[in-house]
Amino acid sequence: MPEQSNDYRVVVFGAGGVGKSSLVLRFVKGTFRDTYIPTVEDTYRQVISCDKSVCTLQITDTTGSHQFPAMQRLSISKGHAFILVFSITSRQSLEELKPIYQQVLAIKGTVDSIPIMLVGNKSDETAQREVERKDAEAQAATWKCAFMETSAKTNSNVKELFQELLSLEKKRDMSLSIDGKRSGKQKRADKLKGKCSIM
Amino acid sequence: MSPNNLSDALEKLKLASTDSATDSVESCLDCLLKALANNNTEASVKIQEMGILPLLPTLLSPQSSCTPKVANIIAELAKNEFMRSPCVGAGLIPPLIQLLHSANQEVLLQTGRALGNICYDSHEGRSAVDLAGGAQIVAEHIKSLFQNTEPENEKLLTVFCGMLMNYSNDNDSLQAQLINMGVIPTLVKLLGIHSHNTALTEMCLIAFGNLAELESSKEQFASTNIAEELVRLFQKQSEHEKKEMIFEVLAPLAENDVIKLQLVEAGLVECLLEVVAQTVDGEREEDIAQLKTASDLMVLLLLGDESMQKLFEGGKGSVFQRVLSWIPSHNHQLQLAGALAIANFARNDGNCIHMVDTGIVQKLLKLLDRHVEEGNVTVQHAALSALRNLAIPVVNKSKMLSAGVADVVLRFLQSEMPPVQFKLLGTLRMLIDTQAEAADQLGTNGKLVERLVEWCEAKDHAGVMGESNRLLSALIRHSKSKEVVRAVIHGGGVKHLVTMATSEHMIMQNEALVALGLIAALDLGKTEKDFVGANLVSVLHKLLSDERSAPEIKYNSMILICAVMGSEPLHKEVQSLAFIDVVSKLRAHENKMVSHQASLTEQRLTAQS
Repeated sequence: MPEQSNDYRVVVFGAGGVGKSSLVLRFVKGTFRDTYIPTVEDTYRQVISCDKSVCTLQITDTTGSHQFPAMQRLSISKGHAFILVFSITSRQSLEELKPIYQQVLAIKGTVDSIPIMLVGNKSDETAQREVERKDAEAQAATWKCAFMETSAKTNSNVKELFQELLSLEKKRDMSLSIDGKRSGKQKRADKLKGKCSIM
Repeated sequence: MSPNNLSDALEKLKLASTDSATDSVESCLDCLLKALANNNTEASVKIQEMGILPLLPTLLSPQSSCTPKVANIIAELAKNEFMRSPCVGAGLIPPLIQLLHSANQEVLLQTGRALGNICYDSHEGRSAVDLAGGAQIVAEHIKSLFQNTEPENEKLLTVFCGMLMNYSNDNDSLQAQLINMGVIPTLVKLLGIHSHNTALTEMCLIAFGNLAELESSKEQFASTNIAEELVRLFQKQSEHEKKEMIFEVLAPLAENDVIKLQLVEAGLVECLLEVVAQTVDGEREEDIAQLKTASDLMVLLLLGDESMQKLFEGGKGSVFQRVLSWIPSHNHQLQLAGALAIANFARNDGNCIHMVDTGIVQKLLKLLDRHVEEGNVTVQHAALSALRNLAIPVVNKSKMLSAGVADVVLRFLQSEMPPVQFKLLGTLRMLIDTQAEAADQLGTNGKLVERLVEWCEAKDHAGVMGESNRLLSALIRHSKSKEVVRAVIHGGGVKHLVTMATSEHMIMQNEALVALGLIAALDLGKTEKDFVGANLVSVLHKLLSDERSAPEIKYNSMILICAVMGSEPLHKEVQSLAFIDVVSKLRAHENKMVSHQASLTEQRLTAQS
């Protein structure tokens, strides 16, 4: 049992139907708990490099939590990074993010050192676009946060979203992996594709 | 009459039926192959447009002499991503799977290629092969062929392995399927027999790399001699790329403790040390990469208890000595690996006592010294982790305190990095256990207390918050000093200790209660306000009323109740919450200390009511 897990909590906000759960599901296999388990006996601990042990990504999908303001406040106060999702097919969904951003700002006090990403999902639905890219970029600029368009459906930019978010985190050396294994697997898969699979 | 261009050939093919002269079909096929060799994509598009694919199943009969050529064509077509689904849609998989029962080497080779390429990154391809049971057949072939070292056979083995890898790549359940078929022991033996064949060896390594990601595979690997085979292979390599490939397989495998020991016994460590020696001063990217991989792997090997102890060799072993020499290195990666290695050697009393006796502390302090200003966080964390472990045996604590460890550790108090904070706290807490003087000195250090109180509120980081609370309590408990109590009160720490008593963990509750008991005993007057403000009395009431509380908790809560009776406001709160009722029930508690204390407490409460 780990004495302490260095969880990195990413909180995902967005109106219903913007596809934020799909975004998260696309990306995550399981959930991780925030733990500190004290022991009486002073026990010897195995030590791995702290930049490897940091990477338990905990993603909180806030679907339905708008019904529970206290829960929302708790998620924000415990969160390390935030993803605000709207759908490019709905101007309304972008509007609905404004109070949430304000709440993050209010609870955190400052967004200077907090990675926040504004995400326009459903980028594959070009015919139904209501929010132009440049408008969203302008919004992100006023909020001093980053912006990206994604499509959970086609898996476009999903990995890049989380990679980008983590690279904004200045306090820790983060490398992208759900657990340390995933990135190794990805690397191996890439090497395999490049090397020997065509026969 | 042979067709002289692709279009003609395709037209002819279309017209040819199954019982027409094989010659004309054959020459068409040759033409297709030539066109594909010339410009694969263009030819594939044309072939697809002419609707040839649906014709191919009939041409894939086991008896026909054209079959290898047809399979070859399919293999070539499937090199293109856009052709794979069409191949599946045209019903090519079932006949191809049938061909896997052929005894003809050429047929098997081309069929393996075709299936492998169709499966490449293709969900449909893999499903179709899975449905038709193709993987099992190929696995059986490998099992029956792996001992044959003829070049043609090695070519076939390479293709079959590649096919299985394409089939299962990035798909956990298919990989598990392969593992259940028992491919691992076969592939390991294969590696041993064919290590002279570069292509086949590489394919095996890729297979291992993929399969080793699954937990279920590691036990199977551990029951083969993979460790020996990989070390032997590694020793033969001179090229960076080749060494990298083997490293990539070693890393996931070495996460299994049994395999760690096997790797140590197979001599991997000597290889790693050599790589380190060769690359430490290198400036090329590949040198830097290899240095990191080799030293990281070394640390990984030390995470296992048995493998670590084997390498420690009573502290006299050459490995331990070499690792020690990494700490003063100018190279950050080596400093880091050295500190991590020491931290992991420091995992039992014997090792820790020996290491402190032979001067490890001074080396670590020197290292930390180099990283106070603008230091490397990972090195700081590693060195502090080592010190924390080393401070566990009682005999080491006073030695380390004399060596000035506490002062050096305090220099990192301003760090904003949770991993560093966490280990700093742990080290201090280990150091002061049984060391009253040190606890007193640290407990009266205003800056330290201030920072601790700040961290007690670090809701972002459960570990830092927990350890901070524990250190605050430990400073009081081990010093039993009035000055320390004053410092904690002054720093605003009392309310955190009260909160600590509401923790879900019994240990935290108890450490809090004992500290609070000492505070009440040593300076009730000064702390009274904080106790009231933090609702101490209700907290105690809850702990006493909760049936699930441990005996220690009940006992210490009652001690505290008695102690606060000396304060007028607190006394009033106690009365208003009807403690007598709760306490009198505890007289019947099965634990004698609890029941006895309950009597005393009840008497006290009654007398002062």
